[in-house]
Amino acid sequence: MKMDVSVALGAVIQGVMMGAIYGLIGLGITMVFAVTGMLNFAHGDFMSLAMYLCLALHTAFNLDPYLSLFVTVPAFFVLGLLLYHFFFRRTLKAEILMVVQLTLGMVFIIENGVLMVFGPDYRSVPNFLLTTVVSMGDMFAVRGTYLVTFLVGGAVGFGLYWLIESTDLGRQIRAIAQDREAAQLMGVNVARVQMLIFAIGIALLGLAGPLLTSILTMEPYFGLHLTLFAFITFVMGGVGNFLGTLIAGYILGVTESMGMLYLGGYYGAAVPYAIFVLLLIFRPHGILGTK
Amino acid sequence: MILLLGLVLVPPRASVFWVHTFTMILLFIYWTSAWNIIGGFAGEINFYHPLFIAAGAYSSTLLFMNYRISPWIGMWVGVAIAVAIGVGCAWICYRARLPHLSFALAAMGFVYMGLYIGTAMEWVTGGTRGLTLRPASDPANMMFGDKATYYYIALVLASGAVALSWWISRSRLGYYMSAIRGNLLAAEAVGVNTVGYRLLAMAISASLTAIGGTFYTQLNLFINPQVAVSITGVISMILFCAIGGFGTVWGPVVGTLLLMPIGELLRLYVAVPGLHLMLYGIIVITVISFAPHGLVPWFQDYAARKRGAAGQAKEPG
Repeated sequence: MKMDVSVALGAVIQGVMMGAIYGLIGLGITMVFAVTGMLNFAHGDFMSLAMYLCLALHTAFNLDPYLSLFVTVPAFFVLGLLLYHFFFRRTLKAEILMVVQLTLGMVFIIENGVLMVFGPDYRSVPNFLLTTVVSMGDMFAVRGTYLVTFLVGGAVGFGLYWLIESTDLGRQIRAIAQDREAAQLMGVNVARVQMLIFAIGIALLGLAGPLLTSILTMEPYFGLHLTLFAFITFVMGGVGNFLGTLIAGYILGVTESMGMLYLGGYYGAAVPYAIFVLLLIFRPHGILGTK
Repeated sequence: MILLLGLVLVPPRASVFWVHTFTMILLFIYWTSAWNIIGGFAGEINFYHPLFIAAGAYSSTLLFMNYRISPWIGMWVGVAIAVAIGVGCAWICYRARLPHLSFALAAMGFVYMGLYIGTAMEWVTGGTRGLTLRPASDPANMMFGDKATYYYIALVLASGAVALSWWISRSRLGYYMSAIRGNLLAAEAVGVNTVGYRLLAMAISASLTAIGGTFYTQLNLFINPQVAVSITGVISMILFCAIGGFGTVWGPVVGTLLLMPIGELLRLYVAVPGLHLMLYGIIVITVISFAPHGLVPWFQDYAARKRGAAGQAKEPG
């Protein structure tokens, strides 16, 4: 019996640690939605791209995924700026339907580009912490990779939350989220904030991707799943609620790992989506939603 | 006219491979038109259609394999199930009043849930190994020895879907839908039952798609959850529709005819997995940069401008 409890506890802890990352990628979607009103269907695919970039760096230069963070984060920030400048800026001025076409087009380009370059196999990248296990008391032990993911993901997630709540940029973000035109009239440079936030959203994926390369096995088509996970936290947290999104990430992580532990296989994989459907039925305004 | 005549006469002379390819292209014109009714006319971008295809495919196949009920009858069970799924899921989403585009992503959640549960329920769906129908050519069981027969059925389906789209675009229903697409709140304010009409559009689209699912299974005599519940399939439909023009009668036809033959040729001659899908993505992003509403509206605008210019040139004279 003690064994069962510690296994369950281990799964909860593992879920919480994954949840830090789900919250982080969900925060990216929530922030971009708050300032631009658009949802990027290729969100998860950019994260999958970051993971494959990591794989390429590891194969070519034997670079540890944790070190390739110093490449992927700036690279994805610049990529975000460029994408925004050349594609998304125009679609925002046109109509929202174009975002669908544009981002679905990107989904196909990224997923199949990755498929053509890296092949259809499941891959993962080892890092130097892969075999490290951190014991906490005699009840349970945590793999080092999960711990790093949790610490970095959690710190960045709550750091961003602090940024949104307590800095000038954050006030601008919240002003734009409430009323774009009024914010513009009050002297907020809306276009600049939108571009910056979009780039930060993509850079977050450049951060999350490498952290997970040793935990998740990647395959070319799994980007859409990540997009959905981000979207689930977006809805679960109560649309546009930054703190809610972060918390929802942890809930999603725990339900996912509990589903895997107790149901396993395909039923287990369906659990996060089932939770999402139940949420839409019973708490459509999210866990922290008030209306 | 010549094109139409060609469509009717050519298949008996072509090789089986090409007949099959063109049958698939016609089927995609049909599915894309069906998607366009909810996604284009009513402006409700969504990813539900894999579930409808699966409903059609599995209902007819399971009823036939277990109870020897002809797919001609079984497919109507599929239609009923598809409508129930579509209307049920859409109703849940409308009730939640999520922001724009969330409807689409929520649909994707339903689809992944369907895919995993479908794959897990191996004793029903055959899991990843799927179900294979034993070939026995018998028109009563919607199985034909001649591929050309499938081709003609697909031709009828595709023409029927286009005709239905044409009728809807000129009916009261079509006007309500375009009002909903244009401005949901305004449509609601003038008394359009926005939820009701969107659910109706969803029901029409779901039933058509399910019939296509049954036909697809009878054509290939095989189905598994990965083939039926394919997100790639529905994204292809959306991209075909986007290139042709969302909410236009001919958009799905033009978009599918433009992209799918290129894709099939690439699959045949270059045989790099994923290349054709990547190309779809590149073409879509290129096309929307100069024709944001798709090719059909772009061409109509162009023709109108030309006529306008010609008319102006004549007037002074």
